[in-house]
Amino acid sequence: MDAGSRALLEVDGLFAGYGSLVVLHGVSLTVSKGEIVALMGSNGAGKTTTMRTIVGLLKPIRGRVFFKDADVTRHSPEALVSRGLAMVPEGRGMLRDLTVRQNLELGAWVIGRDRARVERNLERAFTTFPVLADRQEQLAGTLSGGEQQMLALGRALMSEPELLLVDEASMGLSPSMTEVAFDLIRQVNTDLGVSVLLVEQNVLALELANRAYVLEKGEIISEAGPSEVRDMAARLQESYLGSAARAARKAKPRA
Amino acid sequence: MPIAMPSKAFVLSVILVKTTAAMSLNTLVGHAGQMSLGQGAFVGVGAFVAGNLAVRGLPLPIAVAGAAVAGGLVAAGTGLPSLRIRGLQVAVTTLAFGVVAEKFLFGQQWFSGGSAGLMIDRPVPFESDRAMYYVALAALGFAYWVDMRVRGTKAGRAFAAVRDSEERATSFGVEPGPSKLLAYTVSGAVAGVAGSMFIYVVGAGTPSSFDIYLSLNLVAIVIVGGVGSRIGVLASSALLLALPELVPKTIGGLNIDLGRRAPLIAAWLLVVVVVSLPGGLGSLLTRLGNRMFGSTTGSKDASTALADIDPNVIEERARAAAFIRRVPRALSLRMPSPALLEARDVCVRFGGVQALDSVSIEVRRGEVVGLIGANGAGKTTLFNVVGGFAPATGSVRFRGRELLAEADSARSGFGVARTWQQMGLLRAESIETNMLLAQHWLAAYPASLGILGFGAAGRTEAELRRRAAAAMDVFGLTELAGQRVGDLPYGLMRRAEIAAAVSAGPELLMLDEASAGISPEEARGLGDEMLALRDELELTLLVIEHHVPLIARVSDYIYCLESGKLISEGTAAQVTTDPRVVTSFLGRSATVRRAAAVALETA
Repeated sequence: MDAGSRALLEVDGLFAGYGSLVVLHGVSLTVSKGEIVALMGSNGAGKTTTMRTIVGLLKPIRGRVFFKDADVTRHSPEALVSRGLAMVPEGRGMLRDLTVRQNLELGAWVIGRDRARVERNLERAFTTFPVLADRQEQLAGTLSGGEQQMLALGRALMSEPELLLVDEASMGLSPSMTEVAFDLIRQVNTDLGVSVLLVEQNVLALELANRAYVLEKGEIISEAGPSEVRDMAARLQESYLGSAARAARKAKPRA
Repeated sequence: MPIAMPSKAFVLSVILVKTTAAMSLNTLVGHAGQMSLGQGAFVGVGAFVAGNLAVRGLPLPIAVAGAAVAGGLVAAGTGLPSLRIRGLQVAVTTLAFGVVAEKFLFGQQWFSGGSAGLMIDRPVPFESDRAMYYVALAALGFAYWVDMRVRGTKAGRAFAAVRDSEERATSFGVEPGPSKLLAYTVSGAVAGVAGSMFIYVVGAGTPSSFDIYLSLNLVAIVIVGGVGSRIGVLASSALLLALPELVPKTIGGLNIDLGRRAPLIAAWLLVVVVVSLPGGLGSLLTRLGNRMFGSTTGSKDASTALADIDPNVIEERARAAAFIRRVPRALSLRMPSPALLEARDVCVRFGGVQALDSVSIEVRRGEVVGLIGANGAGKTTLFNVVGGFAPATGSVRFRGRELLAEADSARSGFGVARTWQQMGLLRAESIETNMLLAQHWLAAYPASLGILGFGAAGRTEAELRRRAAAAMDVFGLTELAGQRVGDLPYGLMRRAEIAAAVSAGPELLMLDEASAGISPEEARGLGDEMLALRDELELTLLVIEHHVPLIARVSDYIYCLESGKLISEGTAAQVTTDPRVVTSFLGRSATVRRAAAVALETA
């Protein structure tokens, strides 16, 4: 990235917080077109705050957010969605009492009355996730965890985003379901060319990321380019495995 | 009443009466979360009952007591629908009662003297407005005291639990139905006292004195004050009722009769406060108080893991742990089998979905048993069956006793405690309050008498507080006792939830995804905690987990569910290498499999 052309998303020296509590202390990161970038960090590191500030749900104290070469720092979330930046919130933010189809159509809100375009996007969501087509008249609340994840992604795609922000897609999912969720994200990235910023604490996210940042106490403490991301994965996996490695006790056999 | 300018004492007395009525509504709405749009009618019932007793020559205290009883009974009756319906629907039924009371009951000649109303003479020592003012002030003091007592005893904790989630309330051993009726009764009784004060202060009551406008006025006072805030109710009464009365009618020849504009002012204030101060005047006053006298709730981060606490205090902790474990048990300790919990052929159907299909598991005393499976496999449903929240067939025996035949709320008394995937504590309450709530089943005194301070309430509460303190000590939460659970970082919230469950003195602790949303380091700490719970607190654990290294490390035995069926069981080594578990739960990721392998090598 040279000075003339910015990355798709560029976050520059972001300070943000709640009231007198400053959570982010100068967070900078970029996501280029076609990339999957992971923002790793534990609880309270400021991951969700970063994401909320990027999408305009939280006004930063200082710092800038550029999206598609434009300064969008204080834009409203709606304005950002119509510019092509969609968010998949933690907990998937499903409207449980609406059908799958109604949920998807809500995702196309910013497209407005262009029915043909909405239909086209619906079609696209259904081709990407055929299960959703089968269940389109089912209430979202009755879907399984994996299907809800599909719906959340499908809904975010309805606004034709160029960048998808995914907050903790793996939260509360079993390892096998986490794989499914990450496979879906990878699929959205390769098939539809949508760039992705993954906010995660699950190390498995590094298996699909092109680049990664580690956030700690509101600061980026390390970052990994395409060639280093595997090393970072290995390092973080150690801390994940650590809980296993430290085990030094025998299970009591049943008589 | 003589036709003359009403004295200041008289005007203030009327305000005190209305404030008393508003306080009674605060108890109902603020603590129990039950809306009443007919509170004015409860006041009216109290007024006419007291009036009738007074007319028959009974002394003031008896008339007031009669009004309290009548108000309580009528309110309890009005609250009956809340056993079946919720929220707005309940509000509408109370509104209907308010209308019926005003139009029908208060129009009966025998009850209220018909449209002419009921007149009484003040009894001997209270003839003067000033004397009556002190009586009305005492009544408000009583209402304030009741509200405070409700908040600080078993009843208020039960109300708060029911307000948050009726399902979770039962898991604390709280019965939602009786709790709601008690809330209506207490509120109605206090409203009745307010009514008796009205008739003694004013000397007369007509049906229109207790119309729907009074009810709505009381709602407005509570909302402007900040629902649940006693100080707020006083402040908003002062603002909405007293201020317009006390401002002189004319200032410098200008006619500014604020009294006549009171409804308009109240309406504006309501809008302003609701929009700009969602917590009401009460929250504003609390904030001001904190600023002036220094806040006592500093956010301290006690993020030391249970296992990292200074070894020198282990002995002390063991003592605290033994103290927590000392609870009276309704069940004998003799067990026919080694299994503490034994589920046989448990089936659960939700509509067309077979959520659990003939599942049998066994949890033996002193074990940590893992329950794994993909999302939707039925793990939480199995927890719900044990807790009594899912209709099941089959058999679930705990210490030999069939649980499926028992009431949901009885289970904490048997020694079963659990945590929830989505935080089972009351976020709006402090850690300590949650700890006391978790021990609900140990609070053996009747909730109603506890409010009045009778029976063993004081002693029991002190004992519960000691137990809560011991549990907070064991879990390193002592310094955070007064913190609102909702303000804690996620990891601490989780720990507080486990601590609360443990404070109830369970035999079996069921943890539902305790590691969800916590970091790898915290997960390691959690593993240590689980083992400490088993070894130091002698608890038996049944845990739902997705974190493979954690579950492989801590489990003595693991069950794996898939689509409601048990597909594998055995030790961690057996289960994590079972091809069906690999496909269904572990997935193909090298990291996860290595984690399982590492955990097993070192085990």
